[in-house]
Amino acid sequence: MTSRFPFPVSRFPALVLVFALATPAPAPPPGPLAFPRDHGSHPSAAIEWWYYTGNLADAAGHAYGFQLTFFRVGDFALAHGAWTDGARKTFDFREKAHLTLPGIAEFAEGRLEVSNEDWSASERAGIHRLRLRWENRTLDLDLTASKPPVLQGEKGLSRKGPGEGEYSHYVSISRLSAAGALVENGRRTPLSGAAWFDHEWGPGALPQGAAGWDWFALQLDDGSELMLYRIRTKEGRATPFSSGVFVPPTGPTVPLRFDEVRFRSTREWRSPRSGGVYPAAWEVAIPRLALELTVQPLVADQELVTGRSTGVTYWEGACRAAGRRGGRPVSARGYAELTGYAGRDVPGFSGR
Amino acid sequence: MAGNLSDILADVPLSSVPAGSPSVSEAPAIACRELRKVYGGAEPVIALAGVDLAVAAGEFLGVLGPSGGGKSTLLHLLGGIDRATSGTVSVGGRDVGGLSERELTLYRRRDVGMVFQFFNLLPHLTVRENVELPRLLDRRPDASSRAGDLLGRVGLAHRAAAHPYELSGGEMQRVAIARALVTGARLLLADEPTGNLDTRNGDQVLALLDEIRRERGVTLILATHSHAAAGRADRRIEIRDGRLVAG
Amino acid sequence: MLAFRFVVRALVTGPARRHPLRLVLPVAGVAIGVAAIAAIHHANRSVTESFRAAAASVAGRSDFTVSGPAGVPLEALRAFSFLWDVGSFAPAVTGIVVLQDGTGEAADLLGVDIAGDGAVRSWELVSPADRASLVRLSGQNTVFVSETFARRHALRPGSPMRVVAGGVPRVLTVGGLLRFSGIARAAGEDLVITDLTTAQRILGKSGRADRVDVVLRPGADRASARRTLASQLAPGLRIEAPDRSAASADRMVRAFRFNLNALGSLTLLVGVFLIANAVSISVLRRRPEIATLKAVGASRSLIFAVFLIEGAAIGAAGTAIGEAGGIFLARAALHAIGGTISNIYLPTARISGGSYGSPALLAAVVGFGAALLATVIPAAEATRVPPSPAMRAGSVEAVRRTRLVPRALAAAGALALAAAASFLPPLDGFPFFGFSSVGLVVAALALAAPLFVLTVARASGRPLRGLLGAPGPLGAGFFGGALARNGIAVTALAMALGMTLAMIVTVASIRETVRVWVETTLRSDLWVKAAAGKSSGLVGDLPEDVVAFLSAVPGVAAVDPFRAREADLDGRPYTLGSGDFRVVAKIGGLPFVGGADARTTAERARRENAALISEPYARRFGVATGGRVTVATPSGPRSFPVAGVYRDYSNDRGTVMLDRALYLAIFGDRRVTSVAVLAGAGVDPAVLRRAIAIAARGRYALSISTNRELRREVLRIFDGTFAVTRGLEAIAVAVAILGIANALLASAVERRRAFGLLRAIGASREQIRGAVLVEATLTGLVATAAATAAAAAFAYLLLAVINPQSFGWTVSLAVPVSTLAGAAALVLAASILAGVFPGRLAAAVDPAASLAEE
Repeated sequence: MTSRFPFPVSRFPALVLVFALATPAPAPPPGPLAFPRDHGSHPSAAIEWWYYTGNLADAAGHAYGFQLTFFRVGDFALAHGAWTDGARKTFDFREKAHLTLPGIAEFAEGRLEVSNEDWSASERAGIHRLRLRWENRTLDLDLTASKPPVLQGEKGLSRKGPGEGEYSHYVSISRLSAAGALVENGRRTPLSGAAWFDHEWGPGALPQGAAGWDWFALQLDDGSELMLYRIRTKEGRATPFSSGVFVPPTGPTVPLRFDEVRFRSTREWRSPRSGGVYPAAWEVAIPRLALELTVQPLVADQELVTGRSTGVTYWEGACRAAGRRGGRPVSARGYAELTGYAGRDVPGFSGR
Repeated sequence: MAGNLSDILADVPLSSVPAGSPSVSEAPAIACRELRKVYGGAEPVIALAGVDLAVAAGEFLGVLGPSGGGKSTLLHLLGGIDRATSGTVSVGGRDVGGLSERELTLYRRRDVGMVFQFFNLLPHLTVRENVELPRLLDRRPDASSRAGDLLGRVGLAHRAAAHPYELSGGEMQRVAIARALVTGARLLLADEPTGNLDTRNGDQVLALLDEIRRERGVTLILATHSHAAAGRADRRIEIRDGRLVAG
Repeated sequence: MLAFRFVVRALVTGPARRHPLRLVLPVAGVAIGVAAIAAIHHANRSVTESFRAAAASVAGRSDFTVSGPAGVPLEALRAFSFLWDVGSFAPAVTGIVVLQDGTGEAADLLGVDIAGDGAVRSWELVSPADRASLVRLSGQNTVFVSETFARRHALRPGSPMRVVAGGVPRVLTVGGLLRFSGIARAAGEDLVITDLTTAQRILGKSGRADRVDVVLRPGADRASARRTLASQLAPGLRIEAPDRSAASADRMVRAFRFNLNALGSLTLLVGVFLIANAVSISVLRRRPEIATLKAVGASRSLIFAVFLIEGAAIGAAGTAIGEAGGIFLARAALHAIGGTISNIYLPTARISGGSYGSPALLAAVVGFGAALLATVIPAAEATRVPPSPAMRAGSVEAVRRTRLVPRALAAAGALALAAAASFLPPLDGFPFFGFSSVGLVVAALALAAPLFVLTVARASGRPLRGLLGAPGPLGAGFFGGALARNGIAVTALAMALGMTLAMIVTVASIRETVRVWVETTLRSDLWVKAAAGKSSGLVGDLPEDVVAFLSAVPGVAAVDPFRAREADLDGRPYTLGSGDFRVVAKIGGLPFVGGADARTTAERARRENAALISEPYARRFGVATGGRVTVATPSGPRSFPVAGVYRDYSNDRGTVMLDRALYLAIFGDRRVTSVAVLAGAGVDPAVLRRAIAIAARGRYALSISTNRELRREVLRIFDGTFAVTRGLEAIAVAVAILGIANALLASAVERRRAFGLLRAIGASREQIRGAVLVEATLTGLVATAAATAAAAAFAYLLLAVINPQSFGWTVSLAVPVSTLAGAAALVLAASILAGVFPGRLAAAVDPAASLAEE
């Protein structure tokens, strides 16, 4: 299925595969994934991350978005945190980078417990406790999974390209209900909303020929979720390994092929920071699901420039969508991730 | 260095004169002819402009004249302390101007005794050591006893162990006289010896000089600006602006 | 104003222009003194600054640091995590790597949280140019070095760097180039930075860090953070100031540096005498001019001011020349001192020249001030010259003589005080009273010198007369006739020569003691430690398995491993070590103070879990056999009974030795610092060494010394420590000889009239030269005799008071008579020689001209 690709941090910068096979090479046998064990760290994998995004609102109905990501790259522990204020139209992010060390940045095995400085995420009995803080702002959230984990790809083994190392183990929780509070400058604001959790681990190889990717995770107000992934070539076309998944309110997940999705961006936004030109609104249609959506970012500028940690510049932001499914009107909240638009992206590609 | 350690310890005596004895065994007569002394420099100074002089053996000559007029220069030339620019100085028949450096040293040591106006004595030696010094420089073992005798003669035997700064001006001059005679020199040159003394002490010193001259048969030349001081002299001359002046 | 200038021209600049050479000696004397002071002060400051910079490059911005006797276990970092609310913290592993690129240099290795270290230490990657590259570039055995370091060792990003780390040869890869900022910039140039894991692995420090640095945000409550942290840490861990290594390094070399300072001051002191001499001379020479000026109405203060100006001018000229010369001397001194420090105390210390500004300023102030001070008395004398020329120098001397008796009493008093002070204990580990005693002896010397001069002058007249004729008593008279001047010259030379002789005895005694100690204690055939490049110190250590490796080499009969590492008690550094007491219990070989038997003592120590301490430690920390020592352990401070005190001349830090089994049980530190190897019967140690080297190739990087090489090395280090001292002694003596020459020259100049008179009454030139040589000889003889007496006092103070209080070594006296006699003879000959030129001047006086001066 689809997945997010690892950012291009790797010990072997020239790791672009020499050969491209027409058919997928055999992947290592995954073994059955079990939880909570596989929510924990997998040290044998070169790269791993725990990715939380969510849309929140306060009692007055103001909309916020948050992102908290913990990356494990070899011996390094990196983290990104972002906060979107829909009312004030502001966006703010921080990054952290450390060696994996007790008390500084840790990843537990056998259970979900990760931390980097004073950011943390841990899971007990289905409740994920998150903490994100910087300067005078602290966000504490309890996320309760509403649906069981979704194993992407083949029982959690997700192919990203034809090459042998172009895969990852991929688990998502497509809807968690969020409750918690933001304490800012001594003022406490209770928040609630919905969150998305992704956990991937693998060798971290780049798919050959990819210039970047666009990723969307949308939670519809009829209880279903949609995730779409487009790997873009240099010319801007989607590769065959692009795909998506639809999670209905009940019942099994529906994998989507890349040619089943009609996708068009309708606006552009130019970053004053990096000069990158990002798509800034989309029209998505999936005939098989009778689904049409128009997607827009909550705030235009939700770009992260993470020179200190991953070296990647990308856009990750809260979005709103509206449209129809099965003839009935629907709206949705979610997150979109756009990489490869700022030229400082995937090393080995644009100008390194 | 011209000499070495052995030279320091043993002077080479003149071969023509017996070692240790004065070249003249009696008071010398002195003859100067056309004696000139010019000091060089940016502007040459003519100290003596051609002086003719004759002094009899054993005579007491008084040389008068103003300070800077040439009296001291004349005495320096007679004493072998300085060399004439031209002209001759003959002492006891010897041409002083023709003596070598070595011979001049011995001449000053043995044949001449000088008494100056001040700074006659080395301050760090005792009175006795000062008196015996010229005799000691001549490496003579009787230096000490001779010094004692002479000190007795000038009436200062009781001050033999004192240092010059403990003496009065008059006493210092009397010690200088004793020192001038310790090697048996027969020519005594006194350059303003009483210039720093009061009248009484000055008279005492002049009387002593005269007595000793008579006792020992010494040619005495006294340079002074005071006519009174030159009163005891047998003869008086005057040198002014480097020339002998009549009268 | 016009009158002032005229007076200056008449008294100072006129004569100076006519006879410029006469000023050469005093100016030279001051120049040398100033140069010495500037150079030494510069070296000292550079040392301190270098230590501080080195410490700062590691300490960075941290507010405090946490460390422990066995490092900080990484698990303990969890106790710090509350600090993220108020700041940040970063662990570091420190160690030394020795470069194998032919330079043999040792460099400090710093293993850090390489992605997150920026909060604490101020360095940044300059090539390649962005921070994310650190994450990408870091890997196994990847290091980062400064641009300067890279240039010096011909490295580029991507180059391999062959080093020895932890006794094992490694190939590291240069990942990129760094630049430090701030105070750490200079010192940071010699740091090799890598990630924590790599450092742990190659230094053999798995699972722990050496320090954890904490940085608090501005406005955070420091005291409360510290308290909370202290309450959560294990008992063996300590919170301390971040740059404590600078303070501790400073302490380590403090005694060494104080010796340098003392010697530098000595040199200047001698120079000051020269100035006093010089101005005295000029005053005496110009008494007639002064009299004349006074007679025409010049005031006393004008005369005083003029001579003060002359002294100031000499001081200024000497200072200027000294400053210029000092720059070169400073470089040489720094090189020598830095070499000694890195050879003996701190192998990676790179002493780089700090700014020359402050030492130059200090030397200028001191030199100029001393010149002025030296001028005051002679200038005051000048004001007392009466307008009438009736009074002569003799009367001034008379006044002086009557003050001799109180001076002699004062000298005796100073000596008594010196003796009393020598019994006092050290202040803060510093032999303050010992050095005061030395100063008092010098004062006694200065006070008594005129009396010596007078006595010798009076007593020598008669015998010299019999021996040499007239020049004898003449010379003796000259000698005794300038009490003040000759007294000063004698004092200066006696002081310099006395100190030199005393140092000769001290050094010879210590060296001989060390030599004997080396012979008795170094019993093994081979001595193995980690390869240290060109440093003689202990650089790094070896993995535990080296013991088994050595034992397995054919021809090895026995191996005896030792562990020695840095420790400190309340900030005072010492060495903590372990060895196998069973070996000593069996074969002895450790000399104990008080003659205790090595075997029984070691056996008792082993049985009772007691410590053996070295003599310097016993002195420094005031512990004796039967007492107790406190050692910081991972579970808190622990005290051990002391079974014996052994003599150890290998360092002055002091060592506490525990039995190896006990040490392992407490610290779990299995690494080995050095191994003594005993060859089997009939096995040639040189052959065995080759066998070990071949077997170790690629596996360990070893430095193997034979017994003889080790002995030679110990003595070589010892000699190196005192090399700088020797240089300074030579300077001091040279300056003092200049003082003699100056005094004699003054004599020749002042006594023009006397020489004129002497020529007039029939002294030959040779006789006058002889008199001056007699004066020179008497000066040299009196000075040498006084120096010998002073040397005895100094040597006693050095060996019995200062050395024990600074270093704590037992030293048996060894007096190298021939060397001493040679030094004294050399100085005496130089003094006599110093009379040659003045003698020629004196003999050349034209009697007529000098007598005409009225």
